[in-house]
Amino acid sequence: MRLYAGVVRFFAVVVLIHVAMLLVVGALARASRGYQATPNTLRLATSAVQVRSLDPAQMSDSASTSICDQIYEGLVSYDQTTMEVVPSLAESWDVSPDGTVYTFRLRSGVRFIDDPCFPDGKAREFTAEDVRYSFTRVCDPIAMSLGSWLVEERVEGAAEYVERRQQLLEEHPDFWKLDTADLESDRVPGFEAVDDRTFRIRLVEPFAPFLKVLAMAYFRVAAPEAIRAYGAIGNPPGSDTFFRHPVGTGPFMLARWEPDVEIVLVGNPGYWERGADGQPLPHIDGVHMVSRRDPHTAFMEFEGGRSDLTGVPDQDWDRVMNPDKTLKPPFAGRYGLQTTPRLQVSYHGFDMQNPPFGTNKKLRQALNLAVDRDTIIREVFRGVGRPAFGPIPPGLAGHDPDERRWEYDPERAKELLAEAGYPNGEGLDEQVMYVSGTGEVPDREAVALMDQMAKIGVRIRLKMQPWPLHLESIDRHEARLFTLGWIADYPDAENFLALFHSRNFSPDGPNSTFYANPEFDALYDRAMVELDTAKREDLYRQAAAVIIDDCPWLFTTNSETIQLDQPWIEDFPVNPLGLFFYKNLRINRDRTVPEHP
Amino acid sequence: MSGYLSYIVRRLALTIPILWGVFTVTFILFFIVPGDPARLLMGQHRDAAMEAAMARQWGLDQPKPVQYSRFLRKVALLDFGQSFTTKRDVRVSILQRLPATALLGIPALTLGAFLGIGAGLWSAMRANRAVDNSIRFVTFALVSIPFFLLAIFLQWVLGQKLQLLPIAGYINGPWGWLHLCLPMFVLTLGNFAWLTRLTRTAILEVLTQDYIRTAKAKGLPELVVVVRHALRNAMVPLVTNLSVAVAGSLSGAFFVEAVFGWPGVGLLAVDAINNRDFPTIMGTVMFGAILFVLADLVGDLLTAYVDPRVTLK
Repeated sequence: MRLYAGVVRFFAVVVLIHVAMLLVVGALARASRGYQATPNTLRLATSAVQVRSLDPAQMSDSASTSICDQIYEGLVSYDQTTMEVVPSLAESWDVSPDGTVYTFRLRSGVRFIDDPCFPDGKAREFTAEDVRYSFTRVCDPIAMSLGSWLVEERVEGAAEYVERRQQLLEEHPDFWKLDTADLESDRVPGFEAVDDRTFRIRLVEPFAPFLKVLAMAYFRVAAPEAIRAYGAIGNPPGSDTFFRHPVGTGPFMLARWEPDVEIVLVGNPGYWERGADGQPLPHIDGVHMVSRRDPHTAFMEFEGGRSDLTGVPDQDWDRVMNPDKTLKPPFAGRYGLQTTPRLQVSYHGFDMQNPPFGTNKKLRQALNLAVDRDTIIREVFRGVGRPAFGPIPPGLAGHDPDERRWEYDPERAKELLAEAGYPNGEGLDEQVMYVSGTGEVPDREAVALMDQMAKIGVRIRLKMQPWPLHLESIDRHEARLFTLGWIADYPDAENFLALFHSRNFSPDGPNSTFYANPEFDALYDRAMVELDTAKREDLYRQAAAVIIDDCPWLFTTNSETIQLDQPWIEDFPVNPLGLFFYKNLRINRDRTVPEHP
Repeated sequence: MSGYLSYIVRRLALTIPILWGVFTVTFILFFIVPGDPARLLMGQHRDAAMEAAMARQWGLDQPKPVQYSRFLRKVALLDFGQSFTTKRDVRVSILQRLPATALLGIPALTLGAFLGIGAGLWSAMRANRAVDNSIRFVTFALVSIPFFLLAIFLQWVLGQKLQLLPIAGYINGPWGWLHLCLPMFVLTLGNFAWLTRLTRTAILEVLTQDYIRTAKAKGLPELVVVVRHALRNAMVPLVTNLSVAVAGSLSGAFFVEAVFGWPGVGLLAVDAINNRDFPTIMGTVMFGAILFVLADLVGDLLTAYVDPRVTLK
């Protein structure tokens, strides 16, 4: 029958098409041979957003920084637990008595990794000139640097340099076609390569936390040859560019980067540093990071033993964690657990230049007394986090652990509210709290806060907006009460106190409340030029005390990081800045009991 | 044949205003929704010099009509520029993602169509009997369950508990194709469900026609009646829907791609929207629009082929 022949033919075609497709898949699978990790390779399944750039000057997001920090090194680095500044590419340094001249003696014998950008593909030793080149790029808008705010006003001649570069931008609409050699002739006088092994920075005025700034990811030393060979901006489509082709001195090298699929780092065989036991670093062969966009999927990879470190996603929280932040039975003892305070603060800011909050200190104080932080942490953040009673998070010099003046006290809050002129909230209109985002947790936090304010008679309603709009509402003084947070850029109280200096008004600075107080500014300014650590800490405490009394914020919480480790992971303390450095990490397959049970 | 040819030319000419419309709407939407992409990148450390440089490089410092005509000119040549966030060429990014999406979407669609049309036929032939009721129940359930739930459930059972299949990731290594199983299964089930329901409805409608009764009265076997007479007439809605589904499969399945960490076009589009990455948004939207317009054209041509009553005028 013709019909049945037709049906058979149809079947045959369908089967053939699928066999052909399977063959294509097979061929593709063979072609992308895949990275076969050795047992001594750290395996990560991460839900972090995509890595954008591996150009140190463009390090603004944590996913990119977490890769860049393995490939590049700066003059100085942070101790992984204490966050103190420790030597890295600089062996030692002097600071002039007036605190404005930093002279670094550079380590000798440190080489870049081998790369075709060098003559014969052979790496050379890094020199002070490389440091000057790399640091100058941090000031350069033409390099699309995101870090120039850190040095622009501080390093001698940097502001003028930025201005000249901007001028160039004005004159050349297609600046990305400018000749690189021409661009390099311009210099920042404050960055000086004295000789091959000596590098000097001159500041306009003393800035006490400067070394901590230099340990940030922007101030990494890259090989100028790589930037010239691969190009750093606006290259023709498809060409290999520098941000995809890092050449540094770090413990690892980039072996493979497929966006949204995987990143492979392998150990740098010529790496200079040795571990505490005299063994060459890094201890592991490499890092294999695969992208798992869904956090729950990433967690399942960890449970299946295919990933070595993880956080705990919301969906899995109740299954894995007890309310007291310990692991539930099947997980306890099987995995290591580290809970570390983050250098972070969540707050609700008041517009300090407008009524009703900005003009009424008693009102702001009353509201601070009405915040039941423990309940918010328990109910909203599932017990993760600590109550914040001031602007400086714990873990930084200047934080006062005994300061609990705004501890929850609804009775006292009502009294102060009456003194502020609003007995039981009468006379105070319903206020709008601006909240950023689409995420679930911040909203629940705002709702909890709204309820707590209602208890003393202050009515609040929420207005939720996407992040860029949220910031714009604050800058326009439209938001009188708004949710924000701050994560430390570098581990110093100054980074948090800067949020209150009248010089730093948003949007050009981080002072989103537009707080201006000459007393505070004077304390801050004195701290910046005070080179004696103990005296500076005392000034930090005094400055923080002014803020705590003035309450430009509703102080709410400091967050914590929860990390689970596979039992074979050793020597990987969680870093309060949220940075990752894998060079000291060890994989010990014999270990059955986790290091941090 | 010349009728066909002039029809194709006319239809292709018609796609130009459609694509222009899509472009214009996307452009307007992007600039109506406030929020500066440079600000998003820099957050609370705004730097005026940097912002100016970025705006300059992306042309955002120009008046809107200038930006519009500049972008339109580039897009006409299928050049969407560089991504704001990853600074890769958008065309390259889309083309790099396309194999992953196609590898997943096309087999899932053909397999789903094959099974779905078969099940739909069977269901229609046994209308309102046990077979039909169970098929309807199952497909109704499949249409109602959110895809990602099904995906997570399968990950848990087949990947985590039974350790049979990798739970996520793109093909690599000798057993890499195993990574394809779960996402493909989920997508195939989805296609199977809606195609079964569509086929069943279409066939049932045809089965009430007089000519079917005549064919049955002639004594033709049931299968012959259904396949040769009913299915052919039911092909019209199927072909239209399937051709659009092909375009859909190629422009990415976001949920499945996200859950299974599959680096496809859908994921690229959603990232772009989150980052206000205008060139990539434009690139993925225009890519999808072109696919849909072409698929629609192919669908119309096929309809004319299977149904001689439809003429190409």
